[in-house]
Amino acid sequence: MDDIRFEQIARVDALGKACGTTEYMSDLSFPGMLYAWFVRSKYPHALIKSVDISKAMALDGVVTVLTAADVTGFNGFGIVNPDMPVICGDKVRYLGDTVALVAATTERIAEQAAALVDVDYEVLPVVDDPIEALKPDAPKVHDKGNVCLHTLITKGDVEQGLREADVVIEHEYRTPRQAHTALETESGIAVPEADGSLSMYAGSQYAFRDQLQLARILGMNPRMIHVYSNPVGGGFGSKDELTIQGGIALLAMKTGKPVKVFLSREESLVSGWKRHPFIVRIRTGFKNDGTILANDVTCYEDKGAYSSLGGPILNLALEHASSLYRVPNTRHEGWAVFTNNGVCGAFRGFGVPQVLFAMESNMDEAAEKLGLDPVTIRRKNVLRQGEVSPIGHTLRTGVSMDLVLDAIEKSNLWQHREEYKKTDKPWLRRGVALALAPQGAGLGVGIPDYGGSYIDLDRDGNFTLRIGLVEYGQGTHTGFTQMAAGLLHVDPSRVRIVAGQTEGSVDAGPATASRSMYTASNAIAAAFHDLGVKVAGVLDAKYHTGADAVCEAKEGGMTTPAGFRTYEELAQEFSQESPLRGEGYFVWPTADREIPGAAGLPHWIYSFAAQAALVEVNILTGETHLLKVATALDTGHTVNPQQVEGQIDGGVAQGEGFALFEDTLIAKGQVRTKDFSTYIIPTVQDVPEHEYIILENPEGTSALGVRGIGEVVMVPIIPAVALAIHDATGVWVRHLPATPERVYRLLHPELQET
Amino acid sequence: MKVKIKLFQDYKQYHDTSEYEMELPAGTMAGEIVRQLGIKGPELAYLILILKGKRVYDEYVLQDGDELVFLAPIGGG
Repeated sequence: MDDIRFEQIARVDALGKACGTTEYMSDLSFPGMLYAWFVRSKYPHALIKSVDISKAMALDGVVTVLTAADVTGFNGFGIVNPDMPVICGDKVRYLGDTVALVAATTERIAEQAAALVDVDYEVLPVVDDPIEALKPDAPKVHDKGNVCLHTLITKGDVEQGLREADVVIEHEYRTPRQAHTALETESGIAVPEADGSLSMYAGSQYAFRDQLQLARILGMNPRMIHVYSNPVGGGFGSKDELTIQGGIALLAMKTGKPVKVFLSREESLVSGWKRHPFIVRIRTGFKNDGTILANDVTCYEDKGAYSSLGGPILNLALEHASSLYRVPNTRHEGWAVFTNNGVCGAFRGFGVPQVLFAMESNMDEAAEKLGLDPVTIRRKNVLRQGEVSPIGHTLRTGVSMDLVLDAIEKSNLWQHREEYKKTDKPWLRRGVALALAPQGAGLGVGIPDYGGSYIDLDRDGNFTLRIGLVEYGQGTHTGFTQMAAGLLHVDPSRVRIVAGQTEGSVDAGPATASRSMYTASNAIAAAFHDLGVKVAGVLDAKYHTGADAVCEAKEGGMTTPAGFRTYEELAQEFSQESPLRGEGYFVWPTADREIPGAAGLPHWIYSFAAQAALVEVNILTGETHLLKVATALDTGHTVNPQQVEGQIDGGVAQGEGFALFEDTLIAKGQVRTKDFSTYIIPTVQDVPEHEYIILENPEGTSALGVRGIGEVVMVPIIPAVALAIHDATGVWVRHLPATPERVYRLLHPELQET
Repeated sequence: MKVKIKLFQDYKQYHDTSEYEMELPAGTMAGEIVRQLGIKGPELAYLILILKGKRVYDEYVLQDGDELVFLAPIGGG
């Protein structure tokens, strides 16, 4: 089926989004709706002695105020470990913690009432550095201590490998606390229904998991909770975990009325999930010819206050800490450490950008020391299919590290880099560098990773595709529609999609981990196959054509034992039974054994990209501009070229932000960057020119040959920018973002960093 | 009929082994296995039952040769 050629079509959601008519969950309103306000902690770390809600309750317009005692089910949430209270009862661990919830007739009254909630705190010392937090006498964020997860993966003898090396590159790298800054902040409406059930309208990345988390919080049967989470106004991982849903669900069930909340940007930046900052200590040993002999990596992940996905993120980082290079001796160790620095969770790349910044930087530094070209040293070490990874598993499918490296070498930017680097202004220096990245896709070994879809042949001869995976900007629903239409041999306009809701769509797992397109390709192909079987079955019942007959899709219909029938004709045949439903289910292939001591590892399928960057550094100010980027990306099989380019554009912008601008600054637990004048993100004026090189090395385990690309497109650009600054100026950037201040101080080592 | 049970994550604690086979009378529903294991409280609310990639619920009638998977949802990326 991977011979289907897809045509470029406009996004199925383009018109509504371009015209502003698309209704996001946060646009909805209901009669009699109340407004919620989350009363946040005043301190980053404190015991709660008492909470007095009497003054708040007395305010006109206030309907209810809830405290921890009002949580009807389990007072906690978290995808892996539900250690984050919906409402804190005895302790707060970061500034975004909720200590009470208000519902009032207007948002203004709710805000005023929140200010009247009187909380008596006993302030505790703050721990704001993950390495300090590991010390025995550090303040404890949780009673059990500050270690969320410790993982150690070894292969060979790393010390022996380092001893045998001709060159050892040893450094410490630091990465930022990047915010997702989705256009739609955390928001939603909880609606109690007449039958005692609850409907939750809140953009998120996995409606079916939200349903279960809410059931746990409310103490309700999950099937009495209906979640509608599509469309989403941007996610990038920030809406993988619950945010406001638990709070408004409790308020709605308590008041019996719909309750809405829509966080301000400031509240979102203080309370919302972030990317984990990493400290990466790395020693890489090379032979004189560039062969890697050993890599010793220790990662300290600043977990923030609660677990969420910090453990799996640490482990994915450790899987990628030596990239997919041929490294015979490795030691990858990681610590996920609780601090009072906000909360960190899933974010596009899931730990991989942090470690590959370190590894790719060491590769270039070794190349320079050994007099090798950056391409040559990588080509010498990239793994190919059938070889053993740095953590000890065999790479079985679709490995294209070498292909993306070859392609980026041939890019216009790399081939003509010396010309691009010319500038006529002596204070401006230009540099070009490249990097490459694998990105593990799916949930990894040990957790069944599954997905389903339905294809309904409707009464009018058109189709409804039902699938759980949400659209939060990636363009996946356009891709899903095209894949279904391609299999059915109909124009994509004849396929309607219902997605991201527990009612009317099918659980297909989370829209995360670069898994949506791949999962959907197999679930949709299975549903298409089942539809053909159902057609044959119904025709047999009517015309005795044989139950085992095969129906094949042809232009606008199916070839059946009863002759070719258009889909409109088939729909008439089944008018008593329409819609005729094809059901498809799929389970990801995984490795047959887990890496000892590393839950979820290894992954079976990877995405691959290489990127080259041209930067211009003003050596008078340290200011860096990203001028041009080339991306070589393996899509497996491109479904929609424009959406692939869109993902590259967005990924590069997000990677550029990581590399040059973005960091949530927290000092002693206090957030210093609460708005977009202090938390700087790339704007349209910052994004570079792009050169796209799309490779198609079909992923053999996808029915349509596709692979996910949403995360990997933001990974190599990060080291590429840092290394291009080196090419331009001679300084090595080892602490991102490379702000003007940081670059200026690197250019002037006599100045101390503050 | 024979049905295979596979337990993941926290659900492993409910049985001596994380994978085992059961001999069951025809007509047994998936919910009966959940009750037999004694899964309750927050873990019951967070439980997903999967059969060949398909989400099933308590009232699903088990068939000979079925492999019923118990897990909590996860995600990432």
